Amino acid sequence: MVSDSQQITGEAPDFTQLHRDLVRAVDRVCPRWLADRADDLVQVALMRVMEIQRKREGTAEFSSSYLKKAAYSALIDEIRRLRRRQEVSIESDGEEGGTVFDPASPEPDPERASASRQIGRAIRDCLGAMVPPRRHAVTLNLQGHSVPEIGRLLGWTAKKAENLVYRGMADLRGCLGSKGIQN
Amino acid sequence: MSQDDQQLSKLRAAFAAPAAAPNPESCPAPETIWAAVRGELPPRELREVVDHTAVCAACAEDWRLAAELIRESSAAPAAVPGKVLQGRFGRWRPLTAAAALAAGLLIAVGIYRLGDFGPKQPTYREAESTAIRSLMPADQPLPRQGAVLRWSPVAGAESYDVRVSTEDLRLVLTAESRKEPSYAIPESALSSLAPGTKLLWQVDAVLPDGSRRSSPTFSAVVR
Repeated sequence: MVSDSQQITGEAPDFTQLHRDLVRAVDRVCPRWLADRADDLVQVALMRVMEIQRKREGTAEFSSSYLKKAAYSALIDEIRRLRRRQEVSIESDGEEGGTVFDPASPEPDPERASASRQIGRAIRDCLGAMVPPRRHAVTLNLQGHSVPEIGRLLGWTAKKAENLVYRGMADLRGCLGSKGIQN
Repeated sequence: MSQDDQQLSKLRAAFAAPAAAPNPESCPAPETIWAAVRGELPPRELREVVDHTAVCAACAEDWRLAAELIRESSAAPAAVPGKVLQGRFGRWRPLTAAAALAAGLLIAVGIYRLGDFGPKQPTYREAESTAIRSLMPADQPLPRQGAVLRWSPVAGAESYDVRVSTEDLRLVLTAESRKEPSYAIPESALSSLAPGTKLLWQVDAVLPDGSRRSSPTFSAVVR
């Protein structure tokens, strides 16, 4: 049996399509400072994938899902490298001051960016204090997943997923309220 | 968009706000996140990754990137066959390929709907609620004077970027930072185009967190 990641196909990999998908995903998800570099990031990631493919497998061609996974991994490696560099520059500017412009922020306004980061931190604090099933449900909900999808991912019935999302979100609102954050 | 949806959107945007990773050494490998998003991890490992993304903004972003990428590849058939083409400007395939693709999709979607089978694709409330639709009247040519492109507004969008090109991908115009979900095409932009020229147009909604929602590619014929 050949697993998905090892599947050899007879078709040439469509790197153009892969490039397009990766750029679009970075553009949609990542903050502006990263999204603006999407083309370069993806280019580097794809070159790494092609190099790995050339070295390890000679002329073998792989399924598009395998290539996408490999490209994603290479892309995240690149993004993490850039993030580390970014963090150093932010920390050296003294983030605790709260008014330093953060180029990593999607917000053009430093005050709004700072407020957004504060709420983000509060959400993470609240999630950390939540009972695990609700935390999992709320985290995935905040990540953009629908209730049925949360159920599928976590092996719950739709009803259970709905219940945990509902209760978890109520917990989160209560917790944020106790921190003085109204939403 | 209901009040609950608006609140959820705000919370999601705040949760997506950049923050330093608490301990980058403990971050899961990209391959692990990918497998988690695809639901390929054992339950305990999956929960560990989700727990990590609950407190690590960077890995939460990596998760969303994987989800978007997986959704991206599976969402292409969602385009309305024969009317819109998915994709960004400047990278469209030739029309013949698009027509063949559209025909293929028509068959595939038809089979999928009739049989109600096939892989369950990830769905995102956010993506559904922010999908951009053309509000242009169907089958009506674009007047040379007073032509206005209109699209459905995206809740929370700060601005819109518009790109218009000919069918052979020659850029006709771009307009950025539009506040309204419409754009009046200057007469001069259409003056050099022959009657019956087919235009392709696409809109990007820019959201408060800096992310973008791209519309499908719509078409219109110049009168």
